[in-house]
Amino acid sequence: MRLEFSLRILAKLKMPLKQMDDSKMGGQSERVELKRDVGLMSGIALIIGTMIGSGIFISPKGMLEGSGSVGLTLILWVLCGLLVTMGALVYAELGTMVPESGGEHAYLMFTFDKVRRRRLKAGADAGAASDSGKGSLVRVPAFLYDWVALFIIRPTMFAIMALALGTYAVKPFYPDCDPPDMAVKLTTAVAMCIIAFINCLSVKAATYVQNITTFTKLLALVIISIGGIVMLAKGNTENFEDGFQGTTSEAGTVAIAFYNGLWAFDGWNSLNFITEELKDPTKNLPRAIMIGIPLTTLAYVLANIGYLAVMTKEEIMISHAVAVTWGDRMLGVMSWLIPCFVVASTFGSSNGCLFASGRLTFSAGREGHFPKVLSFLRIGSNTPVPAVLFTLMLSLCLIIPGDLSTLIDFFSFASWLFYGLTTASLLILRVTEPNMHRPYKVPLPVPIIVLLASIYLVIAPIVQNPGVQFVYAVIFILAGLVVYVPFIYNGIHFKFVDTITIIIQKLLQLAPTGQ
Amino acid sequence: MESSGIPTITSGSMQKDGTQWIGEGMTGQTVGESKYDEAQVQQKRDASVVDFALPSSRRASRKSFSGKQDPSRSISEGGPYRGMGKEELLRFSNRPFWRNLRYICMSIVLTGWLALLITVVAIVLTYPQCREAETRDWWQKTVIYRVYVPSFLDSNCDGIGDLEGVRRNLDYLHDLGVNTIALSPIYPLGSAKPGLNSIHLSDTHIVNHTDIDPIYGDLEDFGKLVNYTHELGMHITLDFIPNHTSDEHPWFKESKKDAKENWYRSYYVWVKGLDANQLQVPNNWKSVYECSAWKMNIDNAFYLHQFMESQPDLNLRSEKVRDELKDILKFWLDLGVDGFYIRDSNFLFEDYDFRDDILALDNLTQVECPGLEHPHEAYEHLHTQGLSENFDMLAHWRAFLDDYGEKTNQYKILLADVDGSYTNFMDYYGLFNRDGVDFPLNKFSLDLEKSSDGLGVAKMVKTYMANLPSKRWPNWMSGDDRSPRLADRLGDDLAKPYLMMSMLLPGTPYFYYGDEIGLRANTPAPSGANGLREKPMRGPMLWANTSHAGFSDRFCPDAWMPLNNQYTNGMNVQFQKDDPTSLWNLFRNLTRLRQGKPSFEYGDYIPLVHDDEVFSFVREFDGEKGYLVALNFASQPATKQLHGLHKTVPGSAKVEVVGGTQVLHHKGGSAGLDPLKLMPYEGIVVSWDYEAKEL
Repeated sequence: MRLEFSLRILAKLKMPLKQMDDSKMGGQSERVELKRDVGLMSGIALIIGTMIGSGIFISPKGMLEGSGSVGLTLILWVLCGLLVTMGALVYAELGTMVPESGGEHAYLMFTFDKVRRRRLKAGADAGAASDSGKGSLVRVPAFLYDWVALFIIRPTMFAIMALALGTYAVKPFYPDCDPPDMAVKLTTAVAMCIIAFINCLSVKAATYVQNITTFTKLLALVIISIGGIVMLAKGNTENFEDGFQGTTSEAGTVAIAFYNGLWAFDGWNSLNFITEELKDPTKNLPRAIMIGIPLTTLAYVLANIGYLAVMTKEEIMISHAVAVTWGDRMLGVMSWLIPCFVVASTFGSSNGCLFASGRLTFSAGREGHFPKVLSFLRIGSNTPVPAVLFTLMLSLCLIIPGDLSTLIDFFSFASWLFYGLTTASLLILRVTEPNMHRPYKVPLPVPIIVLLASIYLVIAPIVQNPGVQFVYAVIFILAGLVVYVPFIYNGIHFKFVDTITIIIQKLLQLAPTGQ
Repeated sequence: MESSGIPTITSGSMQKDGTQWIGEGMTGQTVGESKYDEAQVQQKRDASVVDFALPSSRRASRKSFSGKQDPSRSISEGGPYRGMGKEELLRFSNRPFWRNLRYICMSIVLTGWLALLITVVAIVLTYPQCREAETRDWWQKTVIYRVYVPSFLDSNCDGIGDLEGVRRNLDYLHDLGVNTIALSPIYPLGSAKPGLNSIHLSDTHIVNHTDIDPIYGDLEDFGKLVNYTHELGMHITLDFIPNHTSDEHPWFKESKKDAKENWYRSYYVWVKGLDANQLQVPNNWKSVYECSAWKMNIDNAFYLHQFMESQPDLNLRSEKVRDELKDILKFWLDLGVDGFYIRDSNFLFEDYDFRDDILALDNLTQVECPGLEHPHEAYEHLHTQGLSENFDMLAHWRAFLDDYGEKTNQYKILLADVDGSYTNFMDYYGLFNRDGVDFPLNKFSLDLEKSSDGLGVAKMVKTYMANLPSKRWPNWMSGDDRSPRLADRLGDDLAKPYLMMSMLLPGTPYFYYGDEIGLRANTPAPSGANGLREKPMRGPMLWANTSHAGFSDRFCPDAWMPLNNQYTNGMNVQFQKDDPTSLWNLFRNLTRLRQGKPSFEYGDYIPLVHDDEVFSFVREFDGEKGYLVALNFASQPATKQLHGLHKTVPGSAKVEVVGGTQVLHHKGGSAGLDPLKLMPYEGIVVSWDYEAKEL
């Protein structure tokens, strides 16, 4: 059942491209409406499938270290789920009000580009309503989002997931100590190349990989949860008695724990990227969010109970890989299963991440924010080869110096900055477009809470652990402006870019699509 | 079908694009080629299940051909160049040049990837797997405590410490955390100087290597001592003096008799004199304490003595002597001794051809020696010290102990004293893959003095560690019965950080009795002449603020050496036991800290800040608690950034041990390492729990 859903959803991801070509096929000036065939169940499956990645296998230890007690850990997991649900509800209002694919990009464009908004409201579709953005600064937020997403968020996410994959793949060879960095990083690089290759080879292969790994990660969570419940039923409950013993009193470490948890939840906004394909989005978007995210939260809490029923707090903290230790404890001769599951799961997450990057690149390219070549597809296989290679290159660079915590800081900083900005845009729209039809209206305190939380999540790590990585992040974001002014505002265009485009096209057999 | 029209459109759009730079040979484009391309495209389309872009754009081009759409639309709209159309691209990209370039690129990438994969496999296969906890033997985990027997405790009221006195204090030493007792020589001595009790003789004046000097007790006392030591799980070592004996030793008495048919003649080094009358000394070798290293016997032959003339050098080239020495070792091993400290090991062999030592400093003059105007220090002792035969001898003894240890299933250690440079020093560990002694005592740590700052300490540690051959075991010495005492050399201030350092660096610490209470030399210094027993560092142990400082009972005679009168002033065990900030308690806390801790036993040693003020390092091992030791050797407060210097060092950590006269931290509290502040001469040890790195 689930397999089928995700297969269909992933096939959806290329829908807009197809639709645009179809419009030409029809030869009519107006565009064919996007086919809406992602139903409620598929929507929920997409949310769950995207959110469950490496996080639940990686984060429990960080959560426990930060919170200090079993009780607080479980509460924090629920709180993470709650914050993410609220964030997703904010996105639900935006998504139903602005039924465009592309998530943050679409909402930021809509909020800040009044001309485009007017055209959209007049009935034009997203592509047609857009102009080049020349001579105006209204596209700065959306451009900066594209800039940061393409250069930081996506490659970092890919790098982190692939590093998790590399670590778990190498781990079995080093049962009682940290594996050598070199081996982990090289394995990561090898895996990254394989994933990129699959994504360049065929869309179908990538989808297939995604389905299999979604199945394995769910299976792993089910095994862990059931194992835990069995142990609890056997009366192995001592880790939960006195559940709040050792609770830390330091707010800073709790915040770090919270961060660790949020990493496991990332991907909650994935449905907003394909709003245009959602059936009856005004109903299904909020519903999918309200069902999908609490379900994921429940799965996480169950998995944590599964860990804690088997291992003590101390054992978790000294474990190099919680899920692996759990497997050694519970599965006996089958303990090799868990690392395999985790590797498969992280492989799937990395694959999905790279897959989605192609789509994001397309949406940025559609507005002319990036060199068009990035949005081209390879002839024959129809795979977003340039986008994949671009993300691969950046991610490979990121793992070279990388200490993972720096990368996660980088990632959290950038992504929560834009979650906050998007939430702020909802509040702005409440003021500037008070009368616009909002099929789903989130209660006003929710966006305010989410906005405050994102401000906290952006600022707190800088205050607690000021590191040079944040300076780099800010410099990088500001550099987006430096790019924006000549290339978008002034519309400067260099001929040699075309030359390079053509050479790349010829070399990789890339052709533009759409429009 | 539509293929015939395509070249027209594409070439048209190309010209409008003004893409002159793609035009290499494009005018030669034939319909046939494009037909092939089309067919290929068609094929690809059919093969691809999820294909969508290609057929539609093919249709789009057909449409443009039919004139409904301007083929150059994308360009005329302005904005960034959108790239080449599909069909024209296909034609170009399938040209041999581009196809080959593509294959070359692909094979480069593939080769690179394969290389990466092979590297990964190679690394995983060859990289050392998780380190097993290295097994450390007892002598590597131990704290050695050198007891100068006559000064430790007098149990029989004769003013001289004895074996029973040591035995009575074993519980004390056990509580202090000491695990190995290294006894000073306890062998019967001659009485060469008339009117002198053997207590005043140098304790290497041995007349019998397999007995106990009656002033210390007898073999029964020794047996009791050994047994109780082992009962407490402790170990005991003896001094082994193979270089020389007393001239009253039966061997020498026999040896100096008639040269002919004398079994014992070859036990010592005998040489005829030089000149016609054979009255001149054979060469310029000097004794360490006296004039010539040669002394003439009644029969005009000279015997060699590298030290005093009453201490003739044994001839270790003689198989007979070697056998005797092995028998001596075996005698004590059979009694349960756990190892030996080889004394004067640098002097064991001398040049076979009796070549002159080289005069290095001719400005040093010594008047008292007739015929030899230069003192011992003026020579470079190429032919009398540090001969490579010494190492050969040590390797023999090591092998002998190995054999014995294998039989009894217990490792017996060999230590040695050394003079010389680092290189020479390190040779004692073994030459040419042969095992030498387990460790030569680190005399370089005795070079530290009151004026040493953090840099001096760091330099000593660094040089020592850098010179240490791999797999060999370091050691850190505080003093012995021939060097100035720790408290005298370093003063009370530096003694504490030094104590912390020597206990927590990798290696075996070696302390001298009294170091735990900061015992100082006797003042005024005894005027013991060369070779005599009374030396300032050999004063009686101070146990309590009672009569004789607890060294002997109230009505007993005075100790053989005067007591250091500071025992009334807190320099005694009893007083310091009750003072939590005392040196004694620091000593005990440190032995407790290092005991059984994997990080200290076999953990990594990671130097951190080493500057003129602070000496700091980390000890840690995978899966074990990590420790940071930070010692301020300066007389002013120091602030050092330690967090961030090593990946495991946290921002703040739990204080395990604090030492110093003024302290900022207290045991059990928390110390910030971001940065760490230390008072003058304050040292702290902090710990943190191991955090497994998951990613």
